[in-house]
Amino acid sequence: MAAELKVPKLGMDMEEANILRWLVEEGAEVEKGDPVIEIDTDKVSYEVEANADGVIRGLRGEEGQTVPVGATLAFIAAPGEEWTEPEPAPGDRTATGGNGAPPQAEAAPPVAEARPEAPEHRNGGRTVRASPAARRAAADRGLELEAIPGSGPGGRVYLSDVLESDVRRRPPEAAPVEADGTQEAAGTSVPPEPAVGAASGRESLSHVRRVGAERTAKSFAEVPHFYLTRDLEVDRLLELRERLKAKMDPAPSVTELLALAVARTLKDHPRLSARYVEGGEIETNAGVNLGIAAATDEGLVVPVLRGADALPLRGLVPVLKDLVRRAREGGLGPDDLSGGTFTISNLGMMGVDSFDAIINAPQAGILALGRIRTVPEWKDGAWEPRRVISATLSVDHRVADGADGARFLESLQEVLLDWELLL
Amino acid sequence: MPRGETTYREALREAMVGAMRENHEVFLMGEDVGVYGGAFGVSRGMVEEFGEERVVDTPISEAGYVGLCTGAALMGMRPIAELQFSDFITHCMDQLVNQAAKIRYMFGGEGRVAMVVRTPGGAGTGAAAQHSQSLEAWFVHVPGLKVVMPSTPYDAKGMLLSAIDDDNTVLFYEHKLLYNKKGEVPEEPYRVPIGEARVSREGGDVTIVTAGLMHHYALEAAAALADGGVEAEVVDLRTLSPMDDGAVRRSVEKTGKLVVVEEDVKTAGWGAEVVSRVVEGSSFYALDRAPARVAGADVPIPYNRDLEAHVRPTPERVVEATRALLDARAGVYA
Repeated sequence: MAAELKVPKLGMDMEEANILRWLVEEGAEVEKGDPVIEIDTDKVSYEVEANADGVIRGLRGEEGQTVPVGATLAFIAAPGEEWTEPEPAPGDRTATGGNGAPPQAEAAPPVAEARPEAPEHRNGGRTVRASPAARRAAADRGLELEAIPGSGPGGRVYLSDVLESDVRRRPPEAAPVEADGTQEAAGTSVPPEPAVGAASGRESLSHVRRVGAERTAKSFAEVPHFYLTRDLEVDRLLELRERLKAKMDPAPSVTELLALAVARTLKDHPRLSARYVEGGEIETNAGVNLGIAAATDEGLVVPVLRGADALPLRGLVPVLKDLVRRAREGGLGPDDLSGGTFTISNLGMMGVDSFDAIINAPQAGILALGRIRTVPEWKDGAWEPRRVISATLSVDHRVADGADGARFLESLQEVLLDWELLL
Repeated sequence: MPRGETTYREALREAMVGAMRENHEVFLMGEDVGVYGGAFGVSRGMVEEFGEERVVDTPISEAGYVGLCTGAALMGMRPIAELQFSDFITHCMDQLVNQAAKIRYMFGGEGRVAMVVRTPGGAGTGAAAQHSQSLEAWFVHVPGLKVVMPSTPYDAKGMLLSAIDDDNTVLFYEHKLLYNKKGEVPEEPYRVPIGEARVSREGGDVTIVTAGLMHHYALEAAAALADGGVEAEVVDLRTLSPMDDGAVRRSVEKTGKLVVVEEDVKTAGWGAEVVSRVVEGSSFYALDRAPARVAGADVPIPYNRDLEAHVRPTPERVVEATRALLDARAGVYA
């Protein structure tokens, strides 16, 4: 029986996708996991992978076309399998979506053909075997169960498989921002973007930049920002990095060490990763999901490092590197971009001394980091060189006060001087 | 004040003695509860303190004296009826199910049957098919009755005092193998609420729900599982009706796995109710494995000791069932 390849649901609110391009042709041989087609939602572009080994048959949907979630894209006939185009069901119900893609089918007629006898595919269960907990976790994360390799008998998907797949994905896949607003923030100085053509002429913004434009404007207009700036002494951090270079592969970067310190410190300053709720409440978050602003050709993207406060350095470094790499390559998934509770933005490597960032609402704070400078400090009757980084904390004044922010920066400085405090 | 450890039997006696000293409406009635001190010695010495009017020996007539206690309760007394073996409760079904459980409801709350029926259930003593059953699930099925099954001396005393205070009929299940169990028991009176389960061991890998003697088996199993790196959370229900399914669901939300350990026979046992309550509604989606039940075999309890041991749950069986459930290969249902 040929496997049916459908438009996956990549987020809870996703209803349709654009076909960007086909990566295979009718009759192509594919292996399970091979990318077959690239699709695009308002948040992400995504490569749909073959869900079985075999030959592509009945490919449908043209590049540029909009298709509903659950619509059939193609069938993958088992090697040697005689395959005949299933007849469209009379009722012309759209693709048989996982949760029953509804009649949006009309939107995309060609793709929308219903599978002939889809009974077994229909009742939301499809043929995937998965525990209830795995189903819930996959739905929460917007993951396609079919895409998750199950470790149980007959490929049964357990919760652990979903969680693993989620972690893998976070770093891998990418897409533009959800959080654009996040941080692009750096005040006016939006980081990435190479200079746009000068003078006259217009350029339409990429999707990422457009979302970023709207979010930063909204945040800057509605969130009462205030800023706290201080120099953070980083001699110990740089020594630590030197030491770890020899011991860790990949070695942690300055940003990664700062991310670790910030995430762990935030845990003791819950207000800074809380959010303001209209009506006079704040909502705190149990863990820290740390957004890391990354400049890409498409615009500013802020992938989110989930559970950052609980990750050991060895765990954090590769995940963060992968996130940033995928951000640059446009390979982030929706879940890589959502759920952040606090953001850091480092423009130090681009030579910036210090800057003020725009808060990535609904988060309550963002930390803008500048380059490493060597400054003299008067100590014991003599000038001594000190290496520092300027850190500017932007805070939503509805959630936290200056003293809260100052205490956080002080704790952060303490940690940077004495990493043992993280023990 | 710290004192030596107290047995489950002594804890029950302390509760009864304390309640009878405090409240003249409380009395004890049953076969051999007086001079003999009760079939399992729970009421030893009580007739000497309270006299035959308040520690009343009866003929072999369970239906009669449970009915008598029901009537006394209606008149405002707080009787404690003891049945020597819980198997004999079959004689009292009409009194309990049609009278005690119904009167308060049928008379719009005008009458109440504040009675406690204490009785030991369970096998493991070689007492054969008519003296070894675990029939508590029958009463879980009857609205209007409360059913408790404490596992520790501490809970035995605290819950018996709560049961005596309660304006409803409470079936108080003891276990022959629990009477000598020792534990810390405060000398002063205290109450353990009816209807609240207790997490007696925390763990994140699997939830073991149990009650009564089986609670101790579950703890032994949990210790053995921990040696293999599996951290079981043990929930002692303590009360079977009203059942604290919230505590169970909270634990299952954490672990995603459920094992129920009960001594009564598996078919239509109260463990089935525990599983149902987890599977109904949102906690279903917390489950990462199919739930498992470790229960008595669906047979009369054999007299032969080896056969008896064969049909009862054991800590080893709990370990086995839990390991099977956690096994990655689990889930192949033929």
